[in-house]
Amino acid sequence: MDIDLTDDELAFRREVQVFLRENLTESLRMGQRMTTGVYPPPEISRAWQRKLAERGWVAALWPEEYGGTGWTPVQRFIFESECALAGAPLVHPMGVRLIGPVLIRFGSPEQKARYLPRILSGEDYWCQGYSEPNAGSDLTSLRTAAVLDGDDYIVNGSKIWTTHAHHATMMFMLVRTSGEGKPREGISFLLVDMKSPGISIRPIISLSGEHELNQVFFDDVRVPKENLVGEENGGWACAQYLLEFERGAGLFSARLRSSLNRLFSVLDELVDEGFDPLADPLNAARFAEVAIELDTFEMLELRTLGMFRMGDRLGAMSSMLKLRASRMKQAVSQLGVVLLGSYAVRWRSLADTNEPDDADLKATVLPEYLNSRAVTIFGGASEVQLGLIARNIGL
Amino acid sequence: MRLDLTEDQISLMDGIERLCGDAARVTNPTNASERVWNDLARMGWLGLATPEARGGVGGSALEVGLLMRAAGRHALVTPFFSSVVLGARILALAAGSPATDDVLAKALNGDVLMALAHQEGDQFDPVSPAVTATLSGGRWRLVGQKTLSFGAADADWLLVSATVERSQSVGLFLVNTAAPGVKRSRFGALRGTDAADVMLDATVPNDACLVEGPAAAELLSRVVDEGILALAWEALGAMTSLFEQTVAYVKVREQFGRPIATFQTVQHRIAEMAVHCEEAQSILELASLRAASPERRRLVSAAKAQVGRGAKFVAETAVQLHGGVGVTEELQVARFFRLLTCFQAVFGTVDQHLARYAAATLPGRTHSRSVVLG
Repeated sequence: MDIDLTDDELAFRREVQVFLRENLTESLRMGQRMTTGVYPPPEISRAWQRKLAERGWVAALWPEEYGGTGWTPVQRFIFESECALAGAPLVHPMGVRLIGPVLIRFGSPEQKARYLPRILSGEDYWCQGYSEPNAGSDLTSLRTAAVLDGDDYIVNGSKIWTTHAHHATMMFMLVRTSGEGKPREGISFLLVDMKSPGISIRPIISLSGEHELNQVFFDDVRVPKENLVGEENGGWACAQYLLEFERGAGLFSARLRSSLNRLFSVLDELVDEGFDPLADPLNAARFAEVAIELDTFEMLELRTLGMFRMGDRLGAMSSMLKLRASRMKQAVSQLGVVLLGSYAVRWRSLADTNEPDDADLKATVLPEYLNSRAVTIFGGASEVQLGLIARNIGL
Repeated sequence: MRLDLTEDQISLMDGIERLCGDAARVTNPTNASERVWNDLARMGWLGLATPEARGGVGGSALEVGLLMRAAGRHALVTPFFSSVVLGARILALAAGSPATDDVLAKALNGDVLMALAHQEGDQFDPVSPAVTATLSGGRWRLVGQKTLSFGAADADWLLVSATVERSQSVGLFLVNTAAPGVKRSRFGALRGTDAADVMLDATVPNDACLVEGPAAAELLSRVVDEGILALAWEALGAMTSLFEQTVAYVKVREQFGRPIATFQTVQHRIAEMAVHCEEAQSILELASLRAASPERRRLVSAAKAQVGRGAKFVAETAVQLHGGVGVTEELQVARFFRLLTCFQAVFGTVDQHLARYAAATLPGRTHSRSVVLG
């Protein structure tokens, strides 16, 4: 076992660093830096994705024949680490990391030909139609229905917690196409154009005052039959496959470290104002606790990546990574509000939080904490992940 | 990068695992530990932590860790930690003389036992020992007290750290436990082997001083850190065993007419135990692979704190899920619980290592870079 980089890996790392120096502009960096929600604004992530696409560096998880990078797991780790620590925007994962691998595995040749290039270029901006008001952790109880009528499915129902639905051009969604058998046996996987007549979107304002989430209503929405992915009533396999990518394929450690670094930038500003919470040994220990978990998680992620090969199932390891990454996200953001104490609550009013030109970094600490409460809930709540880990142990 | 173990590492791991497993099956813990110690000596594994140039096998911190983890999985505590990982290692890394080379060779055969006496009070990492060493008439006089020296109660030779009066710097001394003025007070330390406090008012030969000055301080700090890693690997072995024992138990223990493994609250706790074991493995691999790097202090403290917290969770949860029988000597759980309790308390508590981690990272902000890529 050896975690030192080989000459080739070092050369690749330098290549990535040069690319970042030449392409990561200050405005892109600022766009990510001021992001306190799950994703940066679409104009930021798309602008960055276009630069990556020119270089062919968008899809590390895809096979090369579809435009993937052909990287080894270690190269992927290097790339994601360098990007995150340099402050590069997060590429919107709904297309590249979630629906992309599903289409590659389950999609028809026509679907692959149409959508994969548009995912790579960022032309389509995807959102995820999984949860419903009465189907959260128990996803198989979903009720949004699709009924075949000629060459179209007619979709009725609603999806909720749909992040960035108000920006999205496409949605991948789970629908009920049968009430027979077990609940999971009547689920299908559809691709829906968000401009389709009958779709309406209601904003849901988060704890932080920000608008990221939505409820999406479907009222007799016609979806062409060729937008079915896989078999009718065979959507659960696609759904599960995608969830593993959602939970475990993200490489979160460097993003988490980048959040911690942002907090240190805030602390530096405060030290200039005469406030130095880390001078208190108790706070230094709190910092150490979080940083140690982060070091541990980085190695856990790397080890897991080392075991993973394209096409493998991530299985229970994806649950472990999701569980830990989400708790770490909360731990980092909690550290921010704990260290800042009463300073944390004063920066700006909730009504102003959608003003991206307000570049006061201190104002990111509280919203990040508030928004991070969601991370142990979405993508399968922590309790669901623990259940999956237990099942894998044989309980 | 190569993210899996080499074939040699796997065969080392499997070999030690088999040897410990065989010993644990046939006899009681004390006899089993003796048998493992004899097997390790016979097969040459006592040289694992010693460079080849000094007559050892030249194993890495990771390989020492794999051995310790295998022993920990059976809670078999031998002098390997005190005599080999600490004592002989210091002797091997210090400049040798014919007399010390002879002691080293015997330690690597298992013919003599060594121990490191460096701790004072609750300071596991003392940079300026209160024990003093004064050279007079060509002999050293060592005066003072050391605490919690593992293996010292039965050792033939001690390595003692002291502040050398003439230079006011650290020196490391090889002291025969039979020398007049070396008093040892033995106590049980929850590990299955005894430790001792050591009272010194002893005179030793001129060449007993192995190394003095910054080189001595660095050598001591390095070997103590390697010792912490070895103990943490042993703790991981014990955690893994408790996890396995608990999984097996909840599947057969029935309450309310069904196995308690079917209760969600039980399942979730066991899943958390599994996560703690994976995390401990991760940080230990990382810290061991970087044991010779400038990041050593940071990562050793990270490992001790992370595994310390994991050990607490896994040990306490294992007892809780075993119910009443978990707090008794009826099962093996008790022995593992004590071993892990000892681990949390010695060579720096979680809190001490959190402080040390903060001191190692904050001034240079080294935590802002990838810990793997640097």
